[in-house]
Amino acid sequence: MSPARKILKDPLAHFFAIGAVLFLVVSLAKPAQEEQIIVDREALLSFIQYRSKAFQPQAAAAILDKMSADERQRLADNYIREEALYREAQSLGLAEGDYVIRQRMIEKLEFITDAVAAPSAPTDQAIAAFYEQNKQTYYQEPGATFAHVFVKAENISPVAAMGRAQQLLEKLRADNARFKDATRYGDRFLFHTNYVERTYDYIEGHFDEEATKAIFSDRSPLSSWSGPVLSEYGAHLIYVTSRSPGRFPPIDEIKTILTEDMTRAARRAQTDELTDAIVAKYAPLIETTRAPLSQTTKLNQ
Amino acid sequence: MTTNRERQKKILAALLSAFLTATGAARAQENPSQLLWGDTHLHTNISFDAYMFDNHSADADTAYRFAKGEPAIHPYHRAKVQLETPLDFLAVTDHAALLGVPYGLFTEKDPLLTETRLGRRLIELKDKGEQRRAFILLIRSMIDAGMDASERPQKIGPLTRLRWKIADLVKPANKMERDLRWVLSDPSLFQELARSDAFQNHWQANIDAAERHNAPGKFTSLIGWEYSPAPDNATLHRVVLMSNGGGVARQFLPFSALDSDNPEDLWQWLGDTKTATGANFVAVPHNANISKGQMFTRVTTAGDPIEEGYARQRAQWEPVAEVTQIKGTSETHPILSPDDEFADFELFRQLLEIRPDAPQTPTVTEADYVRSALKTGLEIDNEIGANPYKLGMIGATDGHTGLASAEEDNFMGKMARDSTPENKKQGLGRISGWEMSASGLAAVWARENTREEIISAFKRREVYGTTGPRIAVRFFGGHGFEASDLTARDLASIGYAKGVPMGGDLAASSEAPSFLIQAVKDPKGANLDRIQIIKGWLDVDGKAHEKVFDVVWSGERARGGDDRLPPVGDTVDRKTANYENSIGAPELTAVWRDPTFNADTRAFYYVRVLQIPTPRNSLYDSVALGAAPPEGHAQILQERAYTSPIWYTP
Repeated sequence: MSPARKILKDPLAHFFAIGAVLFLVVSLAKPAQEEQIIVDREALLSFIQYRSKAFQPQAAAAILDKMSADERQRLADNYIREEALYREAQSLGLAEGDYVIRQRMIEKLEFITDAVAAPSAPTDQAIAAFYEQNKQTYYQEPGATFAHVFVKAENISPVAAMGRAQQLLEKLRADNARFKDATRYGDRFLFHTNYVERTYDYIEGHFDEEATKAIFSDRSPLSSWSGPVLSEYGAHLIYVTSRSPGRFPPIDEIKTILTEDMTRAARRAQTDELTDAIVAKYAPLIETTRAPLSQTTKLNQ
Repeated sequence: MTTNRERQKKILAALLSAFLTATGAARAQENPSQLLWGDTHLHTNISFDAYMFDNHSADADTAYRFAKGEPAIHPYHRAKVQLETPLDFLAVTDHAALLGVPYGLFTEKDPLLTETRLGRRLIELKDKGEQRRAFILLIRSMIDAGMDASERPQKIGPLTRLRWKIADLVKPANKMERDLRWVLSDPSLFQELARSDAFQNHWQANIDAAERHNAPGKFTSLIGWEYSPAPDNATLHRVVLMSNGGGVARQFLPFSALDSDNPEDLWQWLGDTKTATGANFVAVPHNANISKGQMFTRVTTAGDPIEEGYARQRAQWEPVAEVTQIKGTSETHPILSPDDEFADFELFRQLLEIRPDAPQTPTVTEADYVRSALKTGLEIDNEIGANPYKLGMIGATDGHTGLASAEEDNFMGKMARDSTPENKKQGLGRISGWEMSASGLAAVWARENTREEIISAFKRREVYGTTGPRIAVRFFGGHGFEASDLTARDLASIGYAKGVPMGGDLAASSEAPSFLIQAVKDPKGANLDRIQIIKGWLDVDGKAHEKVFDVVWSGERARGGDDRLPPVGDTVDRKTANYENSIGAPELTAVWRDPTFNADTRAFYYVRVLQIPTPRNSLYDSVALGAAPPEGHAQILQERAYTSPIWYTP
């Protein structure tokens, strides 16, 4: 019997051999399971979406389904390569002390904070308080709705224009003319005949100060013809149907805007608060005994 | 089994839809009676150049609030600013290329940008106070992004670096040149920075702001962007606007100069995206005046003569052009229109050329100005049966401050940095702030203040432009207008009944067309000097000509021997920067018949309205500074309105 044959028949050798094989299998197989990269449809779909930075599962599925076998293989290879390098880098601890990753994580947390800061719909009471605090922002200028009949002073003197307007006034009254009839009398004014809910400033731009004052004063009673008043363009007869003084609108009227503005302010406040709370969790230890603080904080001065 | 209730519901639904159809039709037949004022071209802090010239804070939200008349903080000097008269609509149109990149790099400190090699260099330069160098480096790397590998300088190896180090010991080197060589030698430097995921966030933010501020009937926010290719540093820029809301706009990233610097590719993309998403686009070319003869050419980008397909495609997407904005006039130039005594107006004398050794003066060719483009259009139409340059006209600011002001006495600056009188002279390097004036606005004749109505007015060219003042202009062409129409209470309804409005077409007729024109001054502004008609036409050989007619004017002025009117006068006090409306007229109206009409040849007619002289921002500044007026810059200007033309086709 040759020595080799002897060994093969030796039960002890068998035991060692089996042991060795088992050790090999166990030691190789266990990590193999840990390092397994599963390449399934789901993995490829999210890979496609991360790469194109467009998170639309259907679109990604369509892209994947259209791929030829070759293309799909290339995609899988790329995915495996990325995943393997990433895991290896992670296990080597390369994420530690990397400023980009640090910033990126902060960015993500801020993003989450912002999303968490979803201020609930403000109560009526809160809206009222917010309005009170920011009242000046919502002031509405005085306005008026009126029509006017115009007599041009282009080829005649202002006095003559006023005279003609006086005659027209009598005619308007006799005809029982109203707001809607204004376009049938007098000359064409260079701007408009009817002004609906226009502000004092706007009207003053089209007439001059005197005429605008008349429109906004009690000298022009509502729903009847009054005047004439003179502007730089000629004489005007005025029919005012409504006047609104400068005012702070009632809450119900501007509730949508208030709610929107308030939510925006609340979101900002909450985000700041959340950030402060996170910062407060960490106790800063400012080293004063060894390095003088004044040197490290010079920038702040 | 259908229940009674369901049947009732069905009947109700049918009635409702019938009602909507009926009222919808009635609405469509109404003539546009509302004059809306707005700015279709405004940049905020996420446009790369706006940021680099110190607009770090005025974003889309600021822009819309300011346009609506609310007070805002100026991004440079931080004072409260406000519009004298609010706008009716606004489009925030940031540069699509590098959208939000400097903002992300310097303000947000987005690590995806700060950790790139070029990003690090830019931050380094900015920290050293060398912002201008940073800007040049960024813009050169962008403009030359498509440069062929064979044209690029060699990559910088260790040997070169060593040589530089040794040379530095002898004498200080040109660091800019080295930076440029570095960035041009390696295209991946720029690619790292031009991240589409960064663009995406900012595009979404602009859409969100537009959606928040759009209030149909009261204020319209149009979603849009600027496509700004500059091959060879010639501006072939377009603003792209759309009538749709965020639902459509969120489906794509805006087409940018990084995608292609060939405008033909933009038109192709607009068509494809329209098919894919239903988006309804208009593109508005601007700054033809600094396009180095490339904006309105007779050939395609490839250099082939324009053919019918090209002409139709271009006309489909570009029905309107900007003729006035802060960077000057693109209407015409004295060299092109020697007989037009008002052609020498707010000409911009600098190319946007950052290569120091390249020519800096704009060219003056028929391809650089809109009036000559209209003439070229007639000639091409005559030859091939389609007109690529059937252009309406508007004004826009192209401000980069997020603040749309076209008011000389309330000018916010071209960039944020040149917004203060003391910064104007040096604010933008070679280009003085006084080289520019506060201009312009788009005026839109619409049925109501909505996105759809405004874009629809652009498509039918029932729009016009002014250099800032809100001069109201009606312009109709037709047959049978009479002098008595001028005193009618509703002049516009006569205009629509007997003719077509600005932007429209007149068909062949043996009788000369007549035109009904009304111009009313800005209620808060200066009186009017005169109304002119500019006519362009073809002679029997198919060659285009132009002529300016004074149609109606203020005061008792008679034409002189040279057939010209004496000037309207000048009330501007150079010491106080005040003027008086003691000259000019608040309103001018006319019916004008073409005395030189030839029924057999193509023609176009447009209106130009001139204001009396008023102070220019340079005068306000010098009075405020208590200094002598800046040399080489006008102290006054005659602001004006330009209407879209009416075309005659035999």
